[in-house]
Amino acid sequence: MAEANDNHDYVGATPPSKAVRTGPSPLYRLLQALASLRFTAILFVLTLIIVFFGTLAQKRDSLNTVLDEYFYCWLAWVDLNLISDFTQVFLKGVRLYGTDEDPGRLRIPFPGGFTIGWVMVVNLVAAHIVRFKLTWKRAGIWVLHAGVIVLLGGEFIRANYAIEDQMRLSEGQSANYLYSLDKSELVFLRPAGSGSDEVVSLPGQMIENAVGALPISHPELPFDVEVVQYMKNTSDPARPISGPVPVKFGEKNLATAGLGLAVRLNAEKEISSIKGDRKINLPGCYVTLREKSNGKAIGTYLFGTAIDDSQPVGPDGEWRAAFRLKRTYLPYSIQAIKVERINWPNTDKPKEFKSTVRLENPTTQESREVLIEMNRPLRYEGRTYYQSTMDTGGPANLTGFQVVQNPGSHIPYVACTLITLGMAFHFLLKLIDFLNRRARR
Amino acid sequence: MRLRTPGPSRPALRRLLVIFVAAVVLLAGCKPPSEITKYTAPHEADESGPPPDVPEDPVTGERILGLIVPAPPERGELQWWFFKMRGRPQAVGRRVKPLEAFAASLKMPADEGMPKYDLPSGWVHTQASNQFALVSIRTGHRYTPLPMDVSKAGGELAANVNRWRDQVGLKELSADEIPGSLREITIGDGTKAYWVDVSGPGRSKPPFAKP
Amino acid sequence: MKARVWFPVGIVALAAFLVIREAVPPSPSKGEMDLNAFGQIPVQYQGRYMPIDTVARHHLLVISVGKETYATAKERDPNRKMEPAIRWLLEVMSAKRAALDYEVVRIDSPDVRQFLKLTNRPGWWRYSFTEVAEAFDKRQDDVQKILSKARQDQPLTDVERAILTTRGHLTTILSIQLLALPGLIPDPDNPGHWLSPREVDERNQGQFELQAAREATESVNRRLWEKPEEMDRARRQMGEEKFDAMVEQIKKEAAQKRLRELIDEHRKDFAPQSAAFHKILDAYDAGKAEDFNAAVREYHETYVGPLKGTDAGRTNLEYFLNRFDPFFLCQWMYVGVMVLAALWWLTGARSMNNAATILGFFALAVHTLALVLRVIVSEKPPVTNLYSSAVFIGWGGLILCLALDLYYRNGLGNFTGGLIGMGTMLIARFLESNGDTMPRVEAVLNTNFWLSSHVTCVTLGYMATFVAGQIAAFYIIAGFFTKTQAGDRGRTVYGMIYGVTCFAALLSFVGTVLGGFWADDSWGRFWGWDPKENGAVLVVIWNVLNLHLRWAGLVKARGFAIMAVLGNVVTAWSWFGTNQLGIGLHAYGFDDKLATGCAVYWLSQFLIVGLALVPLRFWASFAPTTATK
Repeated sequence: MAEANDNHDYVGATPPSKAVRTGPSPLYRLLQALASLRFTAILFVLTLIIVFFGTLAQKRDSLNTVLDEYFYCWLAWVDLNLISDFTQVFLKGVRLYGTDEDPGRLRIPFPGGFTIGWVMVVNLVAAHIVRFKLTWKRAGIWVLHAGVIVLLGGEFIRANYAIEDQMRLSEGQSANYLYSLDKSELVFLRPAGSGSDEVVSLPGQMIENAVGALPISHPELPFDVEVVQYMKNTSDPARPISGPVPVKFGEKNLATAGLGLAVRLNAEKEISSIKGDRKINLPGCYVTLREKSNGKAIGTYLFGTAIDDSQPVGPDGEWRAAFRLKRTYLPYSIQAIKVERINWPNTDKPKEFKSTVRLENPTTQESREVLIEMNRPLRYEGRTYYQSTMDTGGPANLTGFQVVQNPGSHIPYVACTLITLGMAFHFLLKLIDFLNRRARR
Repeated sequence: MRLRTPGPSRPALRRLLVIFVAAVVLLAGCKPPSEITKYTAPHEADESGPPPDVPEDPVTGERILGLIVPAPPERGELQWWFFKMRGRPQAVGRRVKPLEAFAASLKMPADEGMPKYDLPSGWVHTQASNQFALVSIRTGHRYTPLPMDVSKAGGELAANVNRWRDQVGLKELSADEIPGSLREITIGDGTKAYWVDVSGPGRSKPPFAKP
Repeated sequence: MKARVWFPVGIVALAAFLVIREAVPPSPSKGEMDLNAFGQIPVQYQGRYMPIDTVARHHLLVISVGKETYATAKERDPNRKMEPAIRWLLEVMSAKRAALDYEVVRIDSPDVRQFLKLTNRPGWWRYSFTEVAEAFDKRQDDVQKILSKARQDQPLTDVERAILTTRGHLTTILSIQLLALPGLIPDPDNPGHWLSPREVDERNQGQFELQAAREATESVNRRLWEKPEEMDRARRQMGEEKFDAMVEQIKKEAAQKRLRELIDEHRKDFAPQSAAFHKILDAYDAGKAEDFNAAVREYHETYVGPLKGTDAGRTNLEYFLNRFDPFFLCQWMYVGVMVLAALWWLTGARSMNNAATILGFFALAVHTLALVLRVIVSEKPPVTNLYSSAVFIGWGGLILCLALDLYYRNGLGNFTGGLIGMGTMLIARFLESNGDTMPRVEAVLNTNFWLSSHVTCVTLGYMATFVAGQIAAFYIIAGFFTKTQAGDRGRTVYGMIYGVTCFAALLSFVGTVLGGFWADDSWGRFWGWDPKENGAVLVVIWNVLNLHLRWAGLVKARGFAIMAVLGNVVTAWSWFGTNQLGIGLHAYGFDDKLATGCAVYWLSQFLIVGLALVPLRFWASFAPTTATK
């Protein structure tokens, strides 16, 4: 049989020999348990399972849903029936349960990505406290494991703090704001003179949470907002163009003022799978606005991201309101000068996506042209603009940028360098050791 | 090999671990909260149009409002310019005043070409809404457009007016009765034109009928 | 003594002879058409410049599924020969009648054969264009239904998709016959864009249309008025309308025919290059070898020579690669390496292993040459698609295994290297029929730096995991069935698996991380949880898990070997399996056969693991012998 390993000075799961005084404190015993290599192995296996199922889950659910349900959460719900999707692809259509159209789910609770990640960090730190001596021989492992902790920490930061927005421009158009694909806001606008508006923004999440509850009241809001109905999505992915439908006479209608008297939005199923169509949820709501002083209802209005325009609200015509994808205004503007898609000759296959834009920043007096193309983004003032989509099929060329703000964007580079150096150093030591032993034989 | 001696020789590191775990737990709950914000943003012009038309009871029928302006005859046949809106009575009724302003600014072209006019506020050009119109003008909110179709065609006046009467469900009038049922107006360049405003019980339009 | 030297040298000399023979083209004997010269004519197809030979091979590979040659006659015909694809292309392009009767359209699906009511040809499964076209004509209505379904973006069943694929093959053959592909003649208005001969004709036919119509009408009228009585009789029989319609039709067809004639006559004026090409085709059609060779030579001198030094001037290298087909040669050399290593174990003659090593190095040299040529021709780093990843894994695996064998001298390295080499060459051959092996890359992949670093590194990581897994499989099988893994020899093999796994962990980690850096550079997300990314991280974690299990003392040799074999499963999932899911950025390469192939491979590895789980006392190498206990 193969010999026991003789070139390591630690063994994980073996209980300490009786000669060693076991620590009196129960905290230390806890530390030992946390540091166990067996525990590490279990954590690795849990990671393999969650990554594998999180991969299969993307066949039906959108990436955002999978992130919320598997990776960026503390408690995950793993759908065991995804195995049926797996066998369907690889075993010629055989399924364990359900059909392709109606697969069915069998969800079990499972540690989520955050949990596994942080427990791994605890395990790693405990192991170093309990077992590892700080010697040259172990230097590689210290560096390597430090890198792992940094990597996991960096991903955690990114999961919670990174913001990804969009900017979409047609050739010639200029914009000074970004919009989010999954956050929305209810805004109240009123002119503030010299070509600007005063904007009060209510996050869509607050509206969703306030359905049927007391009206939302806030000193900045011009009215109290009472949410009558909230629809997570009002667009039917099967229809190419969706929007409000006309209200028929005599139809029951929640709206008592504004656009909602003439048109209606229907609640539709949440769009949760990316079948290559890039469709997003377009939420909508029916909201009763009330006077702040006495709570008298001014009217019940229909709002939705599927409705392009703002509506006048309130008795004076001073305020307008709209429900839109959450905007982030920038102190600078970007104008699309030229939008090009270059195909390989005689084919439809894209070779390059290039957008020439003009960046104008009145505060820094900058005005320059920049080229943004696939694989070569623009980095400006903490945000990075990536060429994300391009549509050259319609009357005007449209270019779409993915704009990312990630406080932790440098962390993976640091972490991976540490891990690589640590690994290479450690394996090099082992190799030298091994060659020496073979030479001695 | 044996484990390092445990016990109080490593209190600092143990405390560190406790702090570390506590920090993790705190950090875990930490997510930027959503809150109400106020800021200033550049003004965006509102292009949606006048307030939308509320739905009306179908029993009130349909109404056609429009102008018929004579044009120079072609190949011996009378030619007319048609400016036509069609919808529910009250919604169309709201267009009477703007149409008067429109007519007052209307000038016929000297030769081939489109007539010239000033668009009342809130009215915008759109693509032709059907195959017979040369251009359409949206007279209402984006979601309740009530387009006015601009077209040019030939034929006798009575025939064209009766076609419109038929579309709202009114019975035809004879050629003598027709001028009496219309109102004569003067448009911007002095040409005499007809103001048509007919209401009736309504009739659904067959797919390929002329406007 | 002598045999130890002469035997390996002899083997390599034999291999070298066979290889060189393939490399040097036979010069055509007098009276034969020089197809080599024709094959080297550069064309533009699917976005890149290639010799027309590649177009021929590519189409025949796709239509005939896996064959680059075609049969000149039916199965039982004694005159039946297999001829190369370039000849098939010439046959079709020169619009020979017989060209459409060659049995080249392969229909594997019994449902499609049933739909078209074609007779079974077991093992061969190929039908001629004429046969299949006639069969499709009879099912026009059903085919139209499928087409409208496809146009409305509705999901199609597998059979419907297979029917449309076969129909697509017919369309391709027709396009070739009509000279609608590939791009041959540079567009004067659009540099970098080459037009097909048909496009050139269509652009220029306007100037002849009036003349053709006029002349056709005159000639038709003349013919009709030759026999006025017959005309009258026909008119009375058919009726005015029908007669006039018939005359119109005749005039139209005559005009088209006259137009073609006029174009043919005047082509040398408005499109001399196209005319030169037509001259080649005409000579082929007439069967005149001397005229053919002269026309080809003229074409080369006038139109190909000036392209030297430009993008389009490197096609002769690719032509050489096509003809040489180095990977096919390598495949057989790798089999030879395996056999020699196995012979050493069986006979104990050291010269066998030496021969295996030297042959392995020779094969590696040929393999390297092929990779270098591919890089020069495609102007891209070595791995850009599934095909090139397979070829690269074979190369990397061979280097690693030869190094292992040079160090350990136990023949296992050679054997494993030969096995991996042969396996990857077979996979590559299968992937060939999916299309161009050096396609232009999508915009998002169009960055040489990341393609050379991330993709090669992650591929090498897969390669190393496979090598570890193969050695482990060998350990299990040999340990179970033979006594060879007892004692030191088994320990050495365990050491090999361990060492390669460490190497694999490092390589796969670095490769995966480079992919993350690329993603961060391209769209701001270091880790996007894409299925392929997830697959790569599974490979990394699996290797690392295995190492930790060993360090924890939780596994010994057998357990480590089991984990390494399961590493094969994980790597196959990451390499091919994730593509089959059809999601995310890496959703290319879906193939029913690949999916089944994955499943079969996984099953084979699970069987090996099952074998390993049998208690050690039943293993031949580790059974307790009465003497030892």
